Amino acid sequence: MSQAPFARRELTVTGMDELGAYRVLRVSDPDGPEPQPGQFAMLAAGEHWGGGEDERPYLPRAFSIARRSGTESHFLLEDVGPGTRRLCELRPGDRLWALGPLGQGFSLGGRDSDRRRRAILVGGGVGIAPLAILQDTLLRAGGGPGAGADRVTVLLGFRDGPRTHGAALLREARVASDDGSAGHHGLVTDLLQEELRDDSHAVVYACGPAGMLEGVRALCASAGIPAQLALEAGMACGFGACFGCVVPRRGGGYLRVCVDGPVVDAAMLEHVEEHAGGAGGIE
Amino acid sequence: MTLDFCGLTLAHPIINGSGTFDAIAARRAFGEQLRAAFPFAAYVSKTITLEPRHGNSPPRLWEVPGGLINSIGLPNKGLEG
Repeated sequence: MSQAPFARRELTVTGMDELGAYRVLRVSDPDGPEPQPGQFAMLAAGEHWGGGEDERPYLPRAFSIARRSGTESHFLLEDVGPGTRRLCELRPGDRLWALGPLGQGFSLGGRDSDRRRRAILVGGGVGIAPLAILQDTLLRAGGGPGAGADRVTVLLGFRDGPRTHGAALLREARVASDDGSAGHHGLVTDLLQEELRDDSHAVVYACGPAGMLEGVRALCASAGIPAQLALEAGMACGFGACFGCVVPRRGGGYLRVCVDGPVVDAAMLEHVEEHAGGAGGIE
Repeated sequence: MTLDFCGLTLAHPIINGSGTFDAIAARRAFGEQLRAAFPFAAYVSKTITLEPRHGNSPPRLWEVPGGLINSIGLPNKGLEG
């Protein structure tokens, strides 16, 4: 994994693109290490971060790195609270603090048997972000799992029409929507079930809300299919120092999402619980 | 910025709050850079209890106006760990 510089970097916003209900934040990050797909960064706006009316947002927010394009890093945002709202307000030329890349990304070296499996990428909502850089990497790779476009299948689920525009972040995605406004009317796990019925020689990489991840985990466990899950969590430090962002691990005890994850082997979890990540008010 | 604090001479007045910073985890994340630019003038370690503890069930963190409330629950491997 790439080791992050031990200091947050002051970056410059180069763009903020609308993607339906989401925004793609683009920043110039010429000195940032190349991230592994699934790694994240802790972000805070350069101005108006803390000290406002109720002094929130206060903590930096954890975001998956959605894409690297030259020296730019891209992040997918959804305005769901004071921190994400402030980040959505940023405009080209504004300053951004970033610490990262952090955490364990998707394991692509994998077992030999995984390399010959079809890669199925399953995303939900704003959780599709790390799957974009993963798809880029898989399509570039010569010999990794799912190498070659015909061996990567992308399944994305969204709540409603405005959010389905997020599918444009990836290539050739099959879409499901809760309200039937685009693609399959239902859950993205319905699509996964179909895909696995057709060809179960697969490895699954997933990121999204806890309910979706639990559905993916359960499907893959019952079919004996290896799965890697990228967990979402509010965090305070992002590098293992505070023990705040924990989720229960199979067999007892906890995993820290920031350093043991965010990507974990699904077999390490008994269940993916709602409110996984162990933090509140950090949105 | 040098000051005396409880008989210690500190290079500057910033130390971490008790239990908030696992330096071993930070070193794992940042390597030797951490030692070269250690941010605290003195270091307050996490707690070791006689028996191992997993710590509190989540949620452990909550952002509130002006800061953060945490309730981690002293996770540690115990004295023998």
